[in-house]
Amino acid sequence: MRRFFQFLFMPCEGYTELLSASMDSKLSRLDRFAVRLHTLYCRSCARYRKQLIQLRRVLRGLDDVPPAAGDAVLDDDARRRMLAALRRERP
Amino acid sequence: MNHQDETAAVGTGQTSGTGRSSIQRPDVDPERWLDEHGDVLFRFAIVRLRNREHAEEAVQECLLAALRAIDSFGGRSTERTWLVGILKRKVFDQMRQRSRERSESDTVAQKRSEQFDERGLWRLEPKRWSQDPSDAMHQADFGRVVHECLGKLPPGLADAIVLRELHQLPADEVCETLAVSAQALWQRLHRARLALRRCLELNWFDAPSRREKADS
Repeated sequence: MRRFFQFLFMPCEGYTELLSASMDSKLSRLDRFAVRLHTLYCRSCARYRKQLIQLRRVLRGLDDVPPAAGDAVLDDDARRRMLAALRRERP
Repeated sequence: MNHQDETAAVGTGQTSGTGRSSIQRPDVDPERWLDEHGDVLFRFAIVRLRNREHAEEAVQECLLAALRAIDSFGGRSTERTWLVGILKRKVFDQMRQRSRERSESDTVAQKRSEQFDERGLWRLEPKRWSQDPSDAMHQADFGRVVHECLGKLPPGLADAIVLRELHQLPADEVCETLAVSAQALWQRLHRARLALRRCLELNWFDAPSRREKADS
């Protein structure tokens, strides 16, 4: 019982670990209960949870996020090097 | 450019098929591959590897592998899809190889995040975001910030989060791809999320009033 209460009142850092884990697998019933309870009164962790979901949406769409201008295209040097390598492979 | 490789382009009988869309077997012309798909392939690679040289290496390996495996192209997919599939494997191979070369202590260097105090309470509390970041995704400025934030992560953390979120691989497949334990992966994903969230907040949401730009 004491361990249970220690767990329930663990500090926010522990809850952020649980919140991250919940993004990758299903938490145990106890963990889910603890997270729900904690985010009921901890505004920061509730916000963190919401922002992790928003972050996920951004990362999943990363291919549509415009890269830095210089990183968008293959430069001519690289192109020439590749062509040379390809010709060596199949002249 | 000389024309010594023109004969090599004959391959499949569709010699001058540039006008046709690429649903059918590609004629073996790597120069055309580079012209038509080079930038797309490069962008795919650099988003995942965050390094020009590494991305160029992956694209080159992809094209060489495609050349050797030309018979495996069955025309079921478009030429580009086929090439991207090969490139994806080359990118994963690079990640795995670098993951093996790094020691775990490099990746999980500072055990504790500076976002919490010694009792584990928020030192830097998450702020309210004025906008859902996915609404900003197509803005160039936001894109730069996101890619920069990823680039500032230790590579082991960035690779893990890219495989898990962008590729949506289940955790056990990420472990396999990077050759790390499940425990190490949980830590990496957790640390990557903490750092990315904070970095976006500092460099995007707080940007107009930012004091130091490059602080992650």
